[in-house]
Amino acid sequence: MKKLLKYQLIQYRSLEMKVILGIMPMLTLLGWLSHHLFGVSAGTILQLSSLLLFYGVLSISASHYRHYIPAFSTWERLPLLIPLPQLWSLLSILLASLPVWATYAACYLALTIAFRHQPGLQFFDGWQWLMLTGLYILAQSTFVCQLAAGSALKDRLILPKKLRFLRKLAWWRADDSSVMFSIFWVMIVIVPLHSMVFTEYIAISLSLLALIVYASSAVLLYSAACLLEKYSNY
Amino acid sequence: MGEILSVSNLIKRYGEKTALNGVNCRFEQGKIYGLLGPNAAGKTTFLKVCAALIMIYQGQVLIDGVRPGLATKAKVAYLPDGDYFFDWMRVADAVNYFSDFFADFDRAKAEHLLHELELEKSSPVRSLSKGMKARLKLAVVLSRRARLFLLDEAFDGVDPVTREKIIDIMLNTFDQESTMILATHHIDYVEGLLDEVKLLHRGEVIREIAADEIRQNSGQSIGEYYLEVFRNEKAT
Amino acid sequence: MRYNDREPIYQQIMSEIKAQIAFGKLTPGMQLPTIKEQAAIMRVNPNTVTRVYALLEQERIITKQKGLGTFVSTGEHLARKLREEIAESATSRFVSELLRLGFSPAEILKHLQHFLARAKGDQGTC
Repeated sequence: MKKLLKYQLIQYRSLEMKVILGIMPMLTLLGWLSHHLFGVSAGTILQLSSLLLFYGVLSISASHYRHYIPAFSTWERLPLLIPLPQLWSLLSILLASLPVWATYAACYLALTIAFRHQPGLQFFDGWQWLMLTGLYILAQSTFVCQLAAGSALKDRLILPKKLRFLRKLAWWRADDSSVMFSIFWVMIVIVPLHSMVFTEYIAISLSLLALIVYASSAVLLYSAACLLEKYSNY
Repeated sequence: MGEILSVSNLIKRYGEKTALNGVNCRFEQGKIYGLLGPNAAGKTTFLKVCAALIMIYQGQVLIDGVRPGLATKAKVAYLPDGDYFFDWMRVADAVNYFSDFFADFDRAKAEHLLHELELEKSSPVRSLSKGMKARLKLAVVLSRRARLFLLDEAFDGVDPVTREKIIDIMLNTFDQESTMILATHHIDYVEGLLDEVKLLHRGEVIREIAADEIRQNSGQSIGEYYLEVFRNEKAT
Repeated sequence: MRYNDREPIYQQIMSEIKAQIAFGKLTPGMQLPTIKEQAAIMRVNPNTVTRVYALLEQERIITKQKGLGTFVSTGEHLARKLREEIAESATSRFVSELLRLGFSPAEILKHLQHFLARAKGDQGTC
C-alpha cells in the first residue's frame, strides 16, 4: 500500500497539480474580496465557496480516476496489470487525494476565520466536517463505481440507434467526453446533502447521516474494486 | 515440457462484433510462439484475455492451471500495443514502478537494458519519441523473469538497429522456464526466433505448425507460408 | 549467419558447424559455445541450438561433458570425414540438378573440367 501511495503522491510534483491547488486560495481570496468590496453577504459567500471549492476538488480527483481506469483512457494499463487487489489501488487514490481535500478545508477555514466577526453565521463543528469529508469520499466512490460499471458494461448493452444519445446521460457509467457530466450526476446527490450540512433543519441526526454516507462509500468502493478485478472488459 | 497456457473454446464478443470465435490451442513451456494474423484477427484480444485485462468471456483459459486473475498477473508479463506508462512518469519512475510491484523484476538487467537501448533515466516519458517509448516498454517487460511473456507488436515503431538489439535481448531473456508469445505482422523479423506458429484469422486459430515443419514440408519461409494460407483464406 | 528460406534452420546450422570442423575453424577437443551463447551468435531460438547440439552429439561429432561444456569430438579423422561428407553432398546436389535438366554424365564431366581449368588459370594470373 505504501508503494501504491508513493506513486499516487508523485503526481503532485507536476506543474498542473500545483497550479490547480493554487487556484483554490485565489478563489477564496476572491470570495473574501467580494464581501468587502461588493458587500455580498458572508453567509452566501461561505455557502457558495464551499460548493464551488467542493466541485473543484471533485473534478481534480475525478480526472485522476479517469486516467486510472483504462477503459476510458488509452494509456495506463499498468494499474490493472500489477498483482495487487484493485481495492488497494482505489484506496491509495482516495488517500492520495486527501491533500486536495485538505486544501479545500484550509481555504474554507480561512474564510470562516476572516468572517468570524459576522453576526449569525454558523461555522462548522466537528460533526459537520466529518460529514463533509464523508461527502467527498462518497462522491469519489460513486464516480469510480460509475467508471468501473461502465467499463464492465462497455459494448455489452446495445441500445437502438435512436436511444443512443442516452448513453451520455447514463447514470451508471462515465466516459471520456462525459466525465464532467458524470460529476454532475454525482453532484445532484451531493448538493442536497451538502446543504443539509449547513442547515439545522434535517430530519435525521447528523451522526446517522454520516454513518450512511461513509457506509455507502465503502460499499461503492468495494463494488468498484470487484468490478475492476473480476469484470474488467477493456 | 509442461503446458503453460491452455485455451478451450474462447469466445469474446463486443456487442454485435465477435473478436474471438472459439479459440482452441495449447502453449508449452520453454518455447517461442508466433501468433500471426492480419489486423483485427483477434491477436490483441487474445493476449488481453491471457493478461487478465479482459475478464468477461466464454470458454476456458488456464495459465499453469489457473484462470487469469490476481495470481497470474505476478507471472505474466504483458507488452501492450500502445502507450503503457503514466504521463507524469520519468524513465526512472517506470523502472521503479515495475521493481516495486513485480517480484520477478531484475533491476540490474533493467539498468543494463536502459543503457543498451539508450534511454536516459531522467527523461519524462511524455517527451519520448515513438521509438523510444517502444524501447522503454521492452526494457521493463523483458527485465522480468516471467513465466509467460505476451508481446503485442513488439517491433512497431522500432528502427532496424534497435530491432536487432531487441531480438538479441529476447533471445537472452528466454529460458526453459518461460514461454514467449509474439503477436506480430512483421513475420520476416521473427523467422529465426519462432519455435511454432499459430495463425489467427477472424477470431479462430486456423493453423498450428512448427516453424521447422514449414520449411521441411514445403521449403517455404514462415512468411511465404503465411501468405499462402491467407491467400487461400481470402479465396474461400 | 544468413539463413535461406528453403531448409529448416537447424539443418543450416548443423551444416555450418560441420563445415567449421571440416575446415579447421573448430578443432578436435575445442570447446563450443554454450547453447545460449550459440543462440546469440547465430541469432536463433535457443531451442533450435539445443536440437542442433543433440543431433550433432548423436552423430558423435560433438560430445557433452557434464559440468564442463560441449566439445568437438577428438576422433582423428573427424575433419576428413566431414570434408568428404560435405563434398559428397554438394557434388550429389550439383550432379543431380544437371542430370535433372537433361545433361549427360559426359557433358557434366566436360563442363566440370573446363570450369576447374579456368579457375586454376585465374589463380595463376592473380
